[in-house]
Amino acid sequence: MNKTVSIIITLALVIGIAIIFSGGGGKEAKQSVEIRDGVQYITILASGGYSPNKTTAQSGIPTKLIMKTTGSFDCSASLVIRSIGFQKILPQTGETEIDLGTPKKGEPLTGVCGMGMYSFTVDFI
Amino acid sequence: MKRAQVDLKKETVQIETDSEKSSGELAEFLSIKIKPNGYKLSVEKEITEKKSDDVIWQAIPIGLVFLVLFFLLQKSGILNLGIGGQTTPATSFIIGLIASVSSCLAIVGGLVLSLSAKISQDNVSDTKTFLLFHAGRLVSFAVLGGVLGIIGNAVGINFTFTAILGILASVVMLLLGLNLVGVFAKNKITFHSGVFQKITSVFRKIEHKTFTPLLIGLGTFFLPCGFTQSMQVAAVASGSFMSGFLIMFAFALGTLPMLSLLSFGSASFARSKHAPLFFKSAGIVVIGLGIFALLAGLAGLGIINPLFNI
Repeated sequence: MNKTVSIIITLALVIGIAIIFSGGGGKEAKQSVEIRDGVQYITILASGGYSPNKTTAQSGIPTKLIMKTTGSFDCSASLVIRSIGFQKILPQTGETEIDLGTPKKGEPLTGVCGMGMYSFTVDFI
Repeated sequence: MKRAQVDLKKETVQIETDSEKSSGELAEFLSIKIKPNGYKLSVEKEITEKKSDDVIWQAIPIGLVFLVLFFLLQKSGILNLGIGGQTTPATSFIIGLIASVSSCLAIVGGLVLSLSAKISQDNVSDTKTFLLFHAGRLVSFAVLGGVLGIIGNAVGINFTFTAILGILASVVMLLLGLNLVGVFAKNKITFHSGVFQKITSVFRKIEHKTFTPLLIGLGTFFLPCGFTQSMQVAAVASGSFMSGFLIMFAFALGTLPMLSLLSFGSASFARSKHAPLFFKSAGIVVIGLGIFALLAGLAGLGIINPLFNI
């Protein structure tokens, strides 16, 4: 194969990989944050990744994170949240409630799956 | 021998000697002496270098096409079937089939591909080695699954341990990938006691042993893979040796078609006339998967921020 042709194809493919990695999927789910009886509940679905993977919530009020799973066997079921020392394999189907205490402003919460290929963040404002 | 002069740029050695031997004999004789250091002498310049340069320009796009297809498959969401209900051996077989083309392929498949290609390249009795690897994997998954069923505690699921093992696997993949592409072969000066040469010689030694492929098969039980870990939890929950045994055996059986395609596929490519192209393309794929697995592993350990969501 011609060297120049090869370099052009290579560049195109590298750009393709960059697009795949930078997201571009447009799979943004609606944020689910609600306050009931003075407790803030943040719901995130874990199935083939986390959605929504960016959530904005209020700081300064008791907060609970609800991880929902529906037949999730992939990496997203093995959840690690380093900042609160949480690591667990979520049940295949169900809801797992994680107490976050009272989050402070400007300290975002990051969760990753065990292998590190999926992640989500919750910003507290 | 009176005088020797080395020209690195031209890759020539001038030797003045009062030996009776012909230049061909002399080159052969000296080659034997310097072979342990990774050098070789010949009268005619070897032209293999030029040829492999052309192959790499074909291998890079081919390798990248496979990487693009792989990541597109992950992004497409086809693999998130959402299998509900109880985990039976039948469902764990299907989950194994899915897992074998999922992102787990980046680590387990990448490792299998890199080791297989390297073993085929080194002309070890590859069929026997691969059979031992797959047998080791099936048996150890089944037995360890059974053990999880009895003790009811997930020993394999220490996140930090599996993440470190995953990083180790990705480093092995990167080294083997670079080796397959031929990056190290290009060095004109070899490092007499260089780290890489040591690694290569250790690898040469262990790939001939019967025990090693069995052990690597067992090791894949602990490699980070969300599917494997979910099945381990299911085996724990099953509560008996027999059901844990069956769940993990069926899961490993489900991953077998894809993994054996990778290992036996490498062997048959290695014997075809496209062998140089195959090794280099496989090297590119393995390097790509290795980088992906390494970055993901570091993110999983919290060392770097997650760079991607795939």
